[in-house]
Amino acid sequence: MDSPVIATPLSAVKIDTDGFTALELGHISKINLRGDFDSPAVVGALTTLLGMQTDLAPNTFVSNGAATLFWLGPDERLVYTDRDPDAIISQWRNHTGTGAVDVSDYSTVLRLSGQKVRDVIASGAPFDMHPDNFSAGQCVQTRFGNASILLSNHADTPVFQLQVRWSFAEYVFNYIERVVKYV
Amino acid sequence: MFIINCPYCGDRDQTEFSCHGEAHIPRPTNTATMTDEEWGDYVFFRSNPKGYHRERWLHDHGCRRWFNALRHTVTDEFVATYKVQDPRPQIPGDGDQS
Ligand SMILES: [Zn+2]
Repeated sequence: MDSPVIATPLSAVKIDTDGFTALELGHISKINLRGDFDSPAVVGALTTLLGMQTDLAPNTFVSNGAATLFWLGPDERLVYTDRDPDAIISQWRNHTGTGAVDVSDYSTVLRLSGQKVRDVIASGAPFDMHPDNFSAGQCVQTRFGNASILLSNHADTPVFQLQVRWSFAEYVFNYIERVVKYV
Repeated sequence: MFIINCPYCGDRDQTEFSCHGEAHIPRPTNTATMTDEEWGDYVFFRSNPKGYHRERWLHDHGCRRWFNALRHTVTDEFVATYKVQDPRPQIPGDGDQS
């Protein structure tokens, strides 16, 4: 059976200029997990279902190839996964008795790379983008213009991922496209 | 512009937050028998001090958690931010813990 084609909001656009590239990553399955991340049931579920540790410091994320786990709050994590999200969600609920929600289409993800990335983000976000304050492995939920974003640093070259709500994607893209000319 | 310490995320710019008024106002338990005047007090009336004020804040653009802050309403000084279940921090120069 053919998979349905899932059109993401920025699939038709990209920015590729000297020192800055922005490209949407396309569809990513995303799951919002709730629970007590110190409890044995949750620790066990994360290990079994995702092969991941739970001792994630605030404002950090981990990847193991098949999945990426982001800290969103004291009792909240976000997962990007290559696997079927429905299977993970039902097993999570069975293992932990706490919430798991498919949020795949709630937001989209831009991959930002090039030497200008920190300056471009700093033009719209109040979070300090200095490498001492935001290094690889860190993520931050903050503001870019008027949009809430989840920004993660995947490499200090730098390579960032910017997750934004679906309905704000065009706004953020247009904002970036404009400021990249000035930084 | 000033920096607010989210008890969950750490120091962040004020524009990531919003303030939602006086903290520590419990919902009444005798709602079936309250008079209009008592409802009016609960819903509308606040202490509105010129000085130190315990208030509710939300980290809108960050972790989306509610927390409390002890702030001076004239100087905007944040004496402390604290989780809703934490003990109330003391008002500077005041022995009263309430
Ligand atoms: Zn926070």
